[in-house]
Amino acid sequence: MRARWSFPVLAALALAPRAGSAPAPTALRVEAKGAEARAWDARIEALLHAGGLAAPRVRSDTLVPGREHERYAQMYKGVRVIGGDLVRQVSGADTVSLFGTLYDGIDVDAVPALDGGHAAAVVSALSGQPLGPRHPPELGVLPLEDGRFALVYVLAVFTGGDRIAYAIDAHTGAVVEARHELETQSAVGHGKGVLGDEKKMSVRATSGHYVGDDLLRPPSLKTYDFKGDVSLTLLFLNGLVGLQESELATDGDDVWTDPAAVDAHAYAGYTYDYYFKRFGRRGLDGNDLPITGIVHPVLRADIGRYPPDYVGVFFANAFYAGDGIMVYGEGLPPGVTDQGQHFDYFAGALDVVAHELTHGVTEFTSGLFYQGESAALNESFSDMMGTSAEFFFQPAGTGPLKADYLLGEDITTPGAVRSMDDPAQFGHPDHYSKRYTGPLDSGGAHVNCTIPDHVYYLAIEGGRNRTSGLGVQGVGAANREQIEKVMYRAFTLMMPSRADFATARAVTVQSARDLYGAGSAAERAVTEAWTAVGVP
Amino acid sequence: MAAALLAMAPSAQAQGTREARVRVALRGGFATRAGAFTEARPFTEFAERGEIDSRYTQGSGPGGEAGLTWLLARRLGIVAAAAFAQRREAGAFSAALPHPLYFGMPRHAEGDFRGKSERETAVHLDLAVLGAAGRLDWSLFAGPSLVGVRADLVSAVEYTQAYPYDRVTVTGAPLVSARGRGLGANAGAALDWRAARRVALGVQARFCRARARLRPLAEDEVDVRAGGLALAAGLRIDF
Repeated sequence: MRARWSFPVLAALALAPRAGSAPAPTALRVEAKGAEARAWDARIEALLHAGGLAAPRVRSDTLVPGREHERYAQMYKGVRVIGGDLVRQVSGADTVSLFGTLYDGIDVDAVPALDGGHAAAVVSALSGQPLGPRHPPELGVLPLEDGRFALVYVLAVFTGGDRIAYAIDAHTGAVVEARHELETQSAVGHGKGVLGDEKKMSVRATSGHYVGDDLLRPPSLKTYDFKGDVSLTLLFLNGLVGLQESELATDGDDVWTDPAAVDAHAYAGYTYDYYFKRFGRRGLDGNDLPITGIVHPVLRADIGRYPPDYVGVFFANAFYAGDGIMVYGEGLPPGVTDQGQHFDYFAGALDVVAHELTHGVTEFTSGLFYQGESAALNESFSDMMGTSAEFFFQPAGTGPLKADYLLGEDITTPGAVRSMDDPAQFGHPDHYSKRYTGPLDSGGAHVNCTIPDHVYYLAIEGGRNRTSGLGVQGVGAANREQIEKVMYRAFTLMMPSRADFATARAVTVQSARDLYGAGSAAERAVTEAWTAVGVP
Repeated sequence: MAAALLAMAPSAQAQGTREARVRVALRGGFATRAGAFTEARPFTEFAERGEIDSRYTQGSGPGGEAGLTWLLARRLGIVAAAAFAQRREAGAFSAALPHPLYFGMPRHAEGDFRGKSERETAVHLDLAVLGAAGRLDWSLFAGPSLVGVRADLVSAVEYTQAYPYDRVTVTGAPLVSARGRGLGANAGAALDWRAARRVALGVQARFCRARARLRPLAEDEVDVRAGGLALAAGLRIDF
């Protein structure tokens, strides 16, 4: 998969762009604190008044009383500028911090010549997938690599092997970009749903049987069993059909025997519970967005019928499909491996489920752009929360159903998908100097994510980075909650959508300082950890 | 024991022209505090076993009895008595309530209640040693007892809960009336003052102990220690 979004040259309003990660963005990046941030207040007011910013989405800070986070989307003549946003942290009337990216010099006709239906027809013809009305195209101004801008319709289409976000020129109907953005926990799997452990299922009784519909938790939390009907899977993911009651996972006597359905249903609930109990967050969007899980999008026995890309999506994978929808891969038949690893039902690992659902949290908070370092941060935040959920519910240790710093170890044989402790164990970088800079995987989303993953690990456990040799004094496992809150707050309330690692460092350090004070153990740990992995 | 008592008894006084063969006594009084008992009641909720542990104290309360003495000889008789007592009952409970979403995460609830009663009825069949001194009659008696108990027991814990269900608020503990009976023994003494030829006023102390098995629910059994000390005063009529 590859991503072709790129970021054009843009302005320099007041603050000079920072040197740092590559490729160097030329849009105005804002990182300001204290008086510097307050100096932006008047500028924000002026931009609001002029229509350059939309009215903010305001989120209360559930971790620091009295703080609010205002997220402003950049607008151009009433149209959203894709990737342009500011996140301002306020305490009462005072601005505490400001992060974001703004584009200047936009000069584009903001009145589309084509309607959204035309763009949908173009995408449908390109992808070969019919598109339904549930996901209408969104009009936006897209910054281009050459410094120009295009008025585009953005819409995503789900094919058998990918989810592709198209940008269709709203004047000509030409394809401006086609971004492959399937957010997956690629390569996972082993265990058995699935590991034989008994869990409670919060379900609904109906007409003599039970269905996977959690009525105890605040949001709608449903688990569907597609019974291997890949056509239904594609039709649903592309918005052509809705979900039927008859497709809910079902059991006759409430003693559930499908391990994939059990874990998908239970672990989605665990993840909701983790976010609520740890951070006071109500679901993916903070407002109890329905959570929908789909198991058995294909059947293992049918694996020979599908091309390799289907295997990478519906068998050896789990993914967040947007709008609170999770699809859990089927795993591989006995004796079948993918790159030397065998995977069991992907719903069988709590860290995998929490990882994917966290993509939903990101969707409704930072909206971290799925390209380059922001994509790696997107994946990393999911890794952090997946691991945090594991430590919340499982005892620390090694082996099945134990909390550790491996990703997907409960369903993968041998090994795991990633390691936050020792990323090199699975061929991933533990230092910025070793980052992947090629075009694949949206610029290394699932590879470079281990760099901030390692920051999370070091900030908790402490230790020495194997590449730099620099040591970190972590807060200690007993205080892991501090780092979880630092990261959660940074990634959900303060992080701009196009953040790179350097921005992430600034945001997470600021978050630690806000939560635990300047010079606190948490601030020191986070700061030292970023330094240790080579992000100054 | 009866023989020993008989040997120790003072000489009987002349009882008038004809010895009465039957004595009927009606006495009222109160039953002293009997003790306490506990109950551990398992139950299943949310696919998991829970338990309510209750402790009950049996307080004092009014009581009384009617007794009939058949004189087998001048100093020996058989006593049949029917007694009742209504004790004040108080209790406390603690419960481990299964979590609806997770195994092994019980919620704890506690509560207490008072103002309830435990009712005991008993039938005593005793061998009595009798004696007299002037206008005073005395008797010592002992024998087996059949005791019935009706007690109010906690049948469930009612509570409210809200997501995330880690705590509950107890709203009530409904009681169920349970009955049971058991065999025991009793012993006591009575002292009567003959106010007229065939009428006497007297006092009595009887200690009874029995173990009754209550079945508040079909699958549940609770052993209760019944009885205790009962003090009474009343009227005796001789025939």
